[in-house]
Amino acid sequence: MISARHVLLAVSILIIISGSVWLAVHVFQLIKIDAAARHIKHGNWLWPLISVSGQNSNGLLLYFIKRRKYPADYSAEDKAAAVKLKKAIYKGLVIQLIGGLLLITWLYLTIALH
Amino acid sequence: MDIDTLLKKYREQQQLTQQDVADKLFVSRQSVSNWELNKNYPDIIKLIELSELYEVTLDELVKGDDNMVRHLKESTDIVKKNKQVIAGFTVNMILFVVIIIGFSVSAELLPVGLVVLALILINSTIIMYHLFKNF
Repeated sequence: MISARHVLLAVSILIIISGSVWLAVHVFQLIKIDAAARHIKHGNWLWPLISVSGQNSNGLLLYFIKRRKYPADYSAEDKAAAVKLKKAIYKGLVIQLIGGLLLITWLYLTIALH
Repeated sequence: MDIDTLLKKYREQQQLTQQDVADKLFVSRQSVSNWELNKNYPDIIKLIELSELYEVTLDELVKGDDNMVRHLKESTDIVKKNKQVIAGFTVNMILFVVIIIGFSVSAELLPVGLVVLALILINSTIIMYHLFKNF
């Protein structure tokens, strides 16, 4: 029988997966814009892909190290788009945080009920 | 004079609305309002853009507000920020080791493993926030 705890577990995992997908899509787009503004080689797909891959934001950190040598040359449109994407990324981080906290709540309930 | 008062004064001198400033600086109107109400401070890049927009020097904007100077000192402290990110990575590595050791001891530790994963997720979220804060 499906209990409330099972539902909570399923919901928290669903939120975490949704948050991760949301983050990956927007980080990919933001890095693509940033890499183009900095004229970084393979900035159209490779660096955005590296940035969204890897546990622990390792890929993103690699990109931040790479981009230090390339000064940004943003157009007004790109800058506006980057600001929007950054806001969307913050939303994704909040979604992930909620998912993580729900997962911890699930364990608390699991331990408390046994 | 504090920076919030100066920002409002210079904006009115240029006959600009908060929305005008927000559009030119690619920030929300709420951000401009927060700067003028002393709820938040603009970062150094926005300060430079504001000084250009209001046709005043950075000195005129920043000097005289000790809190603003302290904020700039903290927000531009790269070494401190890097230390925070490295600390976050180290914590995540330790949590990974905890998971591996935990499962090698007993497979019944699955619920604990899930919580450690949740903690890694929360920690990664904080690391990402730090990385994107000054993107």
